[in-house]
Amino acid sequence: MGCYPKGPEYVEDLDVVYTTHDPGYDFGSKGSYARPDQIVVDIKDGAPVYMKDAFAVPILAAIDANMAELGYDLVDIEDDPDLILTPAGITSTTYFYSYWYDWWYGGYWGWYYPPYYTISSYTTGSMIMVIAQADTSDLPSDQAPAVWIGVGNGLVSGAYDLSRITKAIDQAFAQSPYLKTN
Amino acid sequence: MKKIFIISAICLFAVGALSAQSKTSLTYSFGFTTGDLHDYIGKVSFRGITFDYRKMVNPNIGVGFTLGWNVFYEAKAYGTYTFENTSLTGKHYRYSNHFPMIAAATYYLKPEDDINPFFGMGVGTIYTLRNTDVNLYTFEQDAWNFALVPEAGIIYRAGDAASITVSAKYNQGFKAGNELSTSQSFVSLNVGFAFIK
Repeated sequence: MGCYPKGPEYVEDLDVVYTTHDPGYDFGSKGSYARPDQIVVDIKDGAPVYMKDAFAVPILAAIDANMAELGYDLVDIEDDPDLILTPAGITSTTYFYSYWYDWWYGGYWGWYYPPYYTISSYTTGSMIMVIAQADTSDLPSDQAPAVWIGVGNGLVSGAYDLSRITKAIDQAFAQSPYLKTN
Repeated sequence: MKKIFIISAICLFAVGALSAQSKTSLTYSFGFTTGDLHDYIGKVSFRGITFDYRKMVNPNIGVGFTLGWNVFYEAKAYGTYTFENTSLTGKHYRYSNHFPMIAAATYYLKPEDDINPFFGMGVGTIYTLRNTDVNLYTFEQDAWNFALVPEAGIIYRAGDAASITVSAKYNQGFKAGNELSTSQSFVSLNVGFAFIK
């Protein structure tokens, strides 16, 4: 309808930080996490394509700073972390992310999308962070549900704007106070 | 009892038919949010339309209905919006559509004069459809609000059949449903034409 009010006019107006979590999950009892050393941006011919270090290093540093602020210790994957945090940038496809996780973790373990989140919510250019429980011994399968998902839309496409990405990461954690450990 | 009701209804209809008058108006409707709705969207709406029909049961009293549509819109600055277990931060585009469907009775003070003040009361429902858009996401919530709509205004007789009407309605939509648990109320200022038969 012609007289219906307008929505966004500029692409910057579409920047958004989306977070969702499992409200029944007790983050307060957790204290450590592990993460990959690189950020994948695509899968080509079965192999991951990584974000350049010039961008990945400050992005990972921003994530670590926020996790430290919430009370978590970054540990090696071999040191029985409570949580696994996997960051990724989605530059072209929307479905590679779970493959990336499997690849990183040896293909025998992974996470699945929780019922309150749909993969269609990912759009090209998203920066995504997923937290899943590392210990699957009390779960029916070796796959753990994602208990927290943070997405910054529209940030990774085209020219990387590092300050926009780190700002979005800070915002994702700021709007998720329930992540804080005891 | 049933017979009395039927006879009363026939009499009422007959009176209406004998007086052979009705007032129909189509008005442009400005909207001003109040209460909880004002917290969601503070801006005045210049998008609205209202259709009123009153069958005159005597020269002073008309009964009929009101149908309308008012849409409020505001682009909010970068902010965080939390909905159940999901939070979205970004620029918000907020839309609130309201569709009053009201049975109404109106009392006209000076039906023979060129300037005819009136007041009335309506009872019915307002269907509210709210969309909060952030990026490609939209949170949609709706409710059927029980509504009371008091009204006051004037009709100015501009010619034999057409008149100009100006009125103010307070659309009080009470709390309803789970999705939109707050009241949805606004004042509408209606300006348009009335056709008197």
